[in-house]
Formats: sequence, structure tokens, C-alpha cells
Amino acid sequence: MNLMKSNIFFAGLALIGATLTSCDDIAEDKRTQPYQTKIEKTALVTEFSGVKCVNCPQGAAELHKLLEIYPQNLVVVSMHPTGISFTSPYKGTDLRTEASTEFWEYYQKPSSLPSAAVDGGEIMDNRAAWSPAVAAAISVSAPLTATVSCDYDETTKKVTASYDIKFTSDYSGELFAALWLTQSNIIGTQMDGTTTLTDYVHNHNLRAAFAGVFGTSIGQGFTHLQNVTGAESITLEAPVLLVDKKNPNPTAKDCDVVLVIFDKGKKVIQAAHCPVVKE
Amino acid sequence: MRHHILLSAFTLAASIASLPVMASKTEASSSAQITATSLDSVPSAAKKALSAAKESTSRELGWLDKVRATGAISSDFFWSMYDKEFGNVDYDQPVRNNSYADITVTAPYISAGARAQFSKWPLPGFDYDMIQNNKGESVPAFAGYGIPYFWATGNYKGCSLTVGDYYEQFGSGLILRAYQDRPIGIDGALRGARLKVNPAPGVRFTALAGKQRFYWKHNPAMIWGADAEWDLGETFSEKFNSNYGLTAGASYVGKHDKQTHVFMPQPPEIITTPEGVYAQFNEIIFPKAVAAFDGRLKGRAHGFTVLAEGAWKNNDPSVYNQYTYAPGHAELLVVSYAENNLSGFIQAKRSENMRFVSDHDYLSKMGNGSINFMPPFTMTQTYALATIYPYATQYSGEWAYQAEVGYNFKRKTALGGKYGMSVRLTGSYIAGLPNSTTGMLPESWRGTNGPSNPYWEMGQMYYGDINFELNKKLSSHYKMTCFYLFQRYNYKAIRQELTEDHKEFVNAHIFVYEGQWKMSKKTQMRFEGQYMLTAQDQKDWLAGLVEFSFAPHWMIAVQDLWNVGDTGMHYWKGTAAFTYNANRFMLSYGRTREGFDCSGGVCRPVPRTQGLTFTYSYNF
Repeated sequence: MNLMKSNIFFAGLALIGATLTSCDDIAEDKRTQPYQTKIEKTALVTEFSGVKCVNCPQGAAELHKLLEIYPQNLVVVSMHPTGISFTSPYKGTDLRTEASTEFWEYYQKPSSLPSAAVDGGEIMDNRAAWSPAVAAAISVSAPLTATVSCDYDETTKKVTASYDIKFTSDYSGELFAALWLTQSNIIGTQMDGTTTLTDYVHNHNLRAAFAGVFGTSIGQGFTHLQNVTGAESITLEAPVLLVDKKNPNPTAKDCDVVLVIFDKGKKVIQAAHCPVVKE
Repeated sequence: MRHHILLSAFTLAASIASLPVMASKTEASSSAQITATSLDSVPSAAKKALSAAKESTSRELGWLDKVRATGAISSDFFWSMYDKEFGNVDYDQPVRNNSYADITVTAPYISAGARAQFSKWPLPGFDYDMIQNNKGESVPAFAGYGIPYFWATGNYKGCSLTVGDYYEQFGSGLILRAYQDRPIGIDGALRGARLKVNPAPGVRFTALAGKQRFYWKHNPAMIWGADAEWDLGETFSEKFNSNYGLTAGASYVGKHDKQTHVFMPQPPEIITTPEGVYAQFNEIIFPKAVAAFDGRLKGRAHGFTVLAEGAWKNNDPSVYNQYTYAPGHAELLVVSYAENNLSGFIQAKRSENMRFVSDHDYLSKMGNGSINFMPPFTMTQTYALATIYPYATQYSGEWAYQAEVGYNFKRKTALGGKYGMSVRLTGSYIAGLPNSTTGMLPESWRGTNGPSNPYWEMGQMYYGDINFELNKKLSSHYKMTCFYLFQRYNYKAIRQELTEDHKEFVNAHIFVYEGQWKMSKKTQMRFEGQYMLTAQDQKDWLAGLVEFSFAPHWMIAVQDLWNVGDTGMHYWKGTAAFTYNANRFMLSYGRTREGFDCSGGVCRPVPRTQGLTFTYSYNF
């Protein structure tokens, strides 16, 4: 009897074992499958970067690659906050700004750089996750389309950015429009792995927010086909424009204006950008 | 609301904790009264409970009489004080806290337990893993409160069934180690069911299924596992001399996982159709089931013990291996000896691509979400300067060796002197595999098998050390420890950055002298002097500690770590502790150096902090 019980026990074990110990070996030619996503909106990548962060040039390269993939549907802004050793400047070029610091503090001061958030979502220091996050973000249907245009007065150095928002469906919540100024082609020192690059080109550096980094309210409760417009101005002079020994004559051509439409939870609903001076 | 519930749970735990025994029906009702009234009534209620317990001893013990409750409370508060010059983090919420209350109730045939945790504003360094909360905000994954751990176990005739949360390890943990290590924020409990059966003497069988805890949620992968171990010495006890033993074990762990969208690095194809514009990617296909196997054999003959263990898992693409498909494997050989006054061991390990995780897309900086564990091959360091350059196990692949020999010189011998002496020499050498790398692996590897490595070849050195320790009692009142450590530390491979002076390696010599002087029957002084000599990174360090213990209640200590090299920074701290019965209160004020807190080769980043720390612990 005991022997029979024992046999049943081990037979049961073998059966369970055979059922559960399956594994799924995937052949080399069957490791990928197509995945199609409809491009519905423009996504915003906000990247935290630093001049003493050894992997940040790789982060910038990853974002550059993504911009080449989605030239019409991706906006990248690079932020150098104050309060973290990776961003403390080498003698000269200081890429840190108050707007970047405020945004970094909102994200609870992530200490690992480079890191990025897509459309105000989770902060990711795993660069491999950026591309899928962008793909997911651009495929989210937005309730509105947004455009921004820039008018630059060379004499007064004043940039006026005008935005035009058109609702494609009803939206019940409150929305905020933020206008940011970014500067590219900034020459500065940058750590890159084991080397220090003295003439590294920094792009999309957030210089200032026109009226608060999370913008101002454009109202609450919107209907299909409703139109909302607005405009803000900023003057292109230091410290808004980064001017130093290595970058003695930055021009408006190096600058872009970024429009970000936030919801109440600081999620990005839509983004757009325009060069301050059209080529 | 949840806050109040949690506070109530803590109050309840504290109330129960005050009862020495919760045994009979009378006691159970007493405890109910206590929780229903207030903490002030606890002592009288406890007396009632005790007298009831005494009465019950005169009767025959029933099932309820055998019910016992044990538990523990621990709470760590840190009040951060921002100092711009020191450069510590300026927290928006300066008071940080990690608190836990555990309770276990045991009775014949059944036991149950639960743990409450409060860490809404976690201690510095516990907040490195970030997640998105329900509102879409990015928040520390560790932040939260609730009862994340609860379980019930039924036992009957050599079988035990657990439902709820549990910890488990198969063999050395090469394919399964679900464990908790609070100081470094690790909690990999499985939630599900576990069956343990002892069908015959020396035969142990475990089967389990569950999902792994990841902070305040559970990771999506379903984990199944089984382990069988046969101790032949126990089964055939009449045939085995007690000087010999042989144990064989085999395990299986399966991970049943979901498909997520992870794309190959090539740019997508943009397709324009009348319906809109589309991006077409090539996404990688995750195996629905990943299997891992472990086999081990342990033999013992007199003072010698030999353990040989091997583990293998099939294709398991994850963020840790850059979504590569090569199988992983690990081999471990340990030979140890302990007899009379001599002890020692020598061990070797080769592992490749053995990170086994329950979420293939989340890269945890604190090591959470790991199903398995690679045993560390470096000595656990306790002296402050010896912890500045800790080695963290590299799961992408490593060859690791460690050897130790220790000898106790007996009393009244030439070297042992009047009170005896012990010495210990330990050394480690860990290298990578020739074509493997650490940190973020190249994207071009994605979807491939990754690099292939010749089995017997070693790559770059990751870490090496030599430790020598001498313990000697010089008189009936004084004993001392001399410790020397040489480390060669591949800073770039382990930390993914260069030292402050842009070097890849750090070579450090650390000298420690520790003395313990029993000044009187109740008073003892302990002091440490440490020096680190290194030409790299922040250069030399000096550290000192003086500690007085006034038995049975008080301890006070002051310490300082001083970088006498490049920075000149002091990391001073003053501590006072008071112990009363099972209660321990500790208050300290000072600075903590930024670095890593490591345990078993798993490391948690620690930020630079300054402030007041209060710790309370209680066991019952």
C-alpha cells in the first residue's frame, strides 16, 4: 500500500514537472515581429543631462537618432539642473538654468544621468527604454493639435511666440500652455566616458520659460473644434541666451521656442516647436 | 485614512508586543481589551494575562493554550539638515522614515503572520528606483505604506502548505533566492503558494508558485519552482558514519512572462496611408516561458566539505542583458575544511548571463525584482574605510575565486600566549569574461546571442583583495584586532564612471587597529584607528571611533572619517544608545559619506547626508 502511495506521489510529481518545466527556445530567425503604431501627436522628451556625466553624450546621441526618425513628431529639450554634481560647470560654460532646476525638482531630483521623461511620464535612466516610450507616446491620440510661430525683432532682441490650439475632440479638464526657449550649438566641455571633450556641442539646452516652466492656464473644459490662441514674449539676452568665452556671439538662429500643453497632472498633451528665426 | 489605519496597526502591534505570552482564551480576551482601550492599560492587562497563563499550566494544555505570538518593531527616522557647503540633498520633506512591524502567531498545525510597513518618505538612498504612480507622477518605488507581507502556513505530518507571501531559496540561490535584506532595501518575497513535503527521512521536496514583490506591487511574471533534496546520510543513517555525509539536490524555476514592446535599434519604417502616418518597428519576441535548472552535490568527510553546483537557464532577454538570447549558466565549486584549530576554504565560480528577473524591462538600481542570487566572493567588510570601495557582483559574467585560511593558536603556546590568538588570511580575485562588459551593454547586441566567451578565459580584472586579521587577548581586560586590507578596484567597470582624478583603477592599503578595554565590571571602551593609503580617487583617508558601553543600558560613541587627501572633508557622527529589556533606542547626529551600502554583493547607492537619526527596535 505504502509503495503504491509512493508511486502515485512520484508519478504526480513527474506529471506536474513535465507540465511546468516547459521552456520556449526562440530560434535566431524568429526573434522579432513587426509592430505598427499610428503617429497621432508630437511627443516631448525632457532629458536631464550634465557636463560631468560620462554617459550623457550617449544619451544625446540616442535623442539625436530619435529626432531623425520622427523629425515632425518629436521635440527634445535638454535640462541641466543646479544641485547635482554632474552638472557643475567646468570653468566657463554653465548650462544650468532655473527652469531646468524647477523641472528636475518636480521629478524629485533624479540623481542618475542621463535620464529622460517622455510626455511628462516616468523618469528613465535606461536609455534603451527611451525609444519604446517615444513610440508609445506618439501613438496616443491627443484631443488637440497645436502650432507655435515665432516673431523675432532683431533690434529689441525680443521673441514673440504665438500659439494656436485646435481641439479635435471635447476635453473636460484644465490645460496649461508653457513656452520654453532652447539654445543649440553651444560649445562647452563635456565628459565622455574616459575622456574630456573640450569642444563638445550641446543642443536643445533649456534656457528659460516664458511664463513659468509649467506654463499658465488656458482654461477648463473645451469643446470639439474650439480654438485657443495666445502669445508670450521674451528677450534674447544673457542669461536667457548663454554667452561666454567659448560662445561669444550666439545668435537667434541657435534658438527654438517649444510649446508644451500640460494637463493638470503635468502630463504632456501635445507639443510643438518653431525656430526663432526661419532659415 | 490609510495613514490612520496604519497607525492603528502599529498601535495594535505595540499593544500585542507588550504581552509576554498570548496563550489562553483569557489572554486572548485580555489582548482584545487592551487594543480596544489604550496603551496605558497594557501593564495591568499583561499581569492578568500572566496570571491566567500560570493558572492554565495547572490544567491540561489545549490547542488554544499553545498559541504563541512573536514579533518585532523597528523604526528608523532621519531628519535631514541641509548644508549648502557640505552639499547634501535638500529634501522637500526633511523627516524621512522607514518603519516595520512584524507579527507571527504560531499554534499547533497552523501559523500565520503579517508585516506592516510605513515608508511614505523613505530614508535617503532608498529612493533610487522610480516608478509612475496612479496619477502618472514619477515617485520613488519604495515610498508607500500598508501591509505588503502576510501569510498562513498549515503543517501536518511532514507537509507544510503556505499561502500568501513567503521567502525561499533553492541551493545556493543560483536560480531562486526570494529574500529580504532591509538595510539595503531588498524585498523579493513571492506571493502565491508553497508546498513542502518530507516523504521520507532525508528527502525534502518543495514546490511553489507566485508573483514577486516589487516594492508596492507585484511583477507580472508568474514564477513556478520545485526543489528536491536528498540527504543520504539522513536516509541511511545506520550505514553512514557521522564523519561522512552526502546530499544531492536538483531544482527547477520557470518564469512565465508577458510580451512587451521592445524594439530593435534600427529606426522604424514610416508608412503613410490614407488613414494616417504609421511607424513600423521590429519588436523583439519574448519567450513565454523561461526555464532554469540547478543541480548540486555536497559531500562531507571528516573536516572536509565539498560542494559542486551548476545552474543553467534558457533564453531570457531582458534590459539587463540588452535583450540578448544566449542561455545563462553558472558553476560553483567550494572546498572547505574545519577541524581542530584550523579552518579554511577555497572556492571558484564562473557565471555568464545569469541575471534572472521578474520584470524584463525594469532596471533596478537597488537590485529588486531579481529572482536569483549569485553568492558573493569577497569578504564582508565592517570597518568604515574598508567599505569605501565595495565590490558588486557583475551578473553579465565573471570568474571569481576566493580562499581563506584561519588558525586559532591555543592558550599557553608560544604564539598563543596566555589567552590565545587567532589569525585569518583571506583573498579574492574577480575578473570579467573576455568579451563581456558591465553597465549598459551595446544596443547592437539586441536580438542576438550577445558575445560568446571561451569558457576558461578571463577578461579584465574587476576586483582583488587580500585581508589579514589578527585577534589577540592581551590581558584579562584588554583585547585587540589588527586588520590589513589591500584592494585593487576596477572603478570604471563597477561604477560605470572614472574616479574623481579620472583613473580606472583604485589601489588601496587599509590599516586598522581596534582595541577593547574592559574598564570595570560594567564599563567597556572600544576604539578604532583606521588609515587608507591610496594614490587614486580622493586619496588618503583617516578614521577613528571611540565607544563607551555602560552595561546594561547605555552606549555612547563618536567617530570621524576624514579625507586627508583631496577633499579634506570630515564625516563626523555622535551616537547614544539606550537599551531597556527588549527595547533599544538610538540617537545619532552627523554626516554620512556618499557611496554604496552593500550586502552579499548587492549594493544600494547612498547619498551624502547630514542630520539626526533616531532608531527604535523592539522584539517580543
